[in-house]
Amino acid sequence: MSTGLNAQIGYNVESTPGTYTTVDTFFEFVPPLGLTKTVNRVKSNGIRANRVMSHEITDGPWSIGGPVTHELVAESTGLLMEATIDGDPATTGDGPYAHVFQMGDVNSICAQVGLPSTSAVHPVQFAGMKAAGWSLTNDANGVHPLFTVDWLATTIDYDGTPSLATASYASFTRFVFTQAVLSVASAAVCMDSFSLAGTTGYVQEFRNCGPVNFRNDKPTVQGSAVVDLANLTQWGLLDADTEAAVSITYTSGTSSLVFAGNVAFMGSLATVQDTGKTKETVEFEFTSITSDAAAFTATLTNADSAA
Amino acid sequence: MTAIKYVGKHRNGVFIAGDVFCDYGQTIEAPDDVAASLLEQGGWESIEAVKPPKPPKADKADSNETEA
Repeated sequence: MSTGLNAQIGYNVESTPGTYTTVDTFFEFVPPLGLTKTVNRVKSNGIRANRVMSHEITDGPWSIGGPVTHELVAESTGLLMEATIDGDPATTGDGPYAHVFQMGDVNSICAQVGLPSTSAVHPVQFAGMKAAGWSLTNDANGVHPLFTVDWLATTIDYDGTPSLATASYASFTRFVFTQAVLSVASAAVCMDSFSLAGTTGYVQEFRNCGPVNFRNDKPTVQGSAVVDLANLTQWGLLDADTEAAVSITYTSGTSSLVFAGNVAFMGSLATVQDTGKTKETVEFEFTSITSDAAAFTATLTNADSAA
Repeated sequence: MTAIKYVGKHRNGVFIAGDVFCDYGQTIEAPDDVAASLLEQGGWESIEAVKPPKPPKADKADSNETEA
């Protein structure tokens, strides 16, 4: 019998968008693994004399996709960055390698999920996947930063062909909360938790030919961090409409992941919540009048020779 | 079993079949179905088994001379 312990997920960049390519990049995942197909079943509204029960239920619009969460690691994560930030990163170095992602179009991805049942682990293929959004969350209790991608797929296949790929995992370098350094306006800030959330601008539309993905809006990246209120400097930046540099850096050995850019601050003046320390939520959105690269850049340094 | 060599992008190696580690440039032997799947994924090379050298054939001319 197979259980969730036997499940697996692998990805690949599609060489022809929308066409499944053998997966070659495998991640550990944190359940639930949300990739699925949901069909809106529709009842006929027709009235037939002397019938009171529904006499026709058929397929209506369907959607394919869902969220998948991975613990943040250095190796392989380039594929997720290509899916959420920049499909054509610049790679430099000779081990470790630095992959620089600046906001651009994102790659079309396919995935194969190993779905365990009492009889086997069934291969289920998802193709034509675009990330609609992503998030990175981390706090002191969670320890391991969680990277979640919300996928929009266009096709699903579960006829047993191709067979389930042998999962191979990079020798992952893991990042943890204590390695995270948040810098606001060039000053390191001690934090309780933080999150980043991005959108790619992609949405899914259901048409007679099935679900279609297209970019409908500008990509965005927003963040927030809960910190002790040390002074009113942060609020002053917001209230004066002053932008500043913000970066979040994870470093583990020679591997690192840096999200950096220029932000406009959001939110409101901290309030007294209880008898404890006054907490301030630093909220921001990456933006720049200068360039997309100045607004937001992610740099992943790892042992992978290609992102 | 099939001998395969890892030459993929993960220069610090990979784990296969749960916990078998294969470093970059290392050759391992894997069950045929596992090797086939990995070769299809790319980043792996099939390594031909080295066959033992055949014993030299007896020289026909030499044998004729012996008969004479």
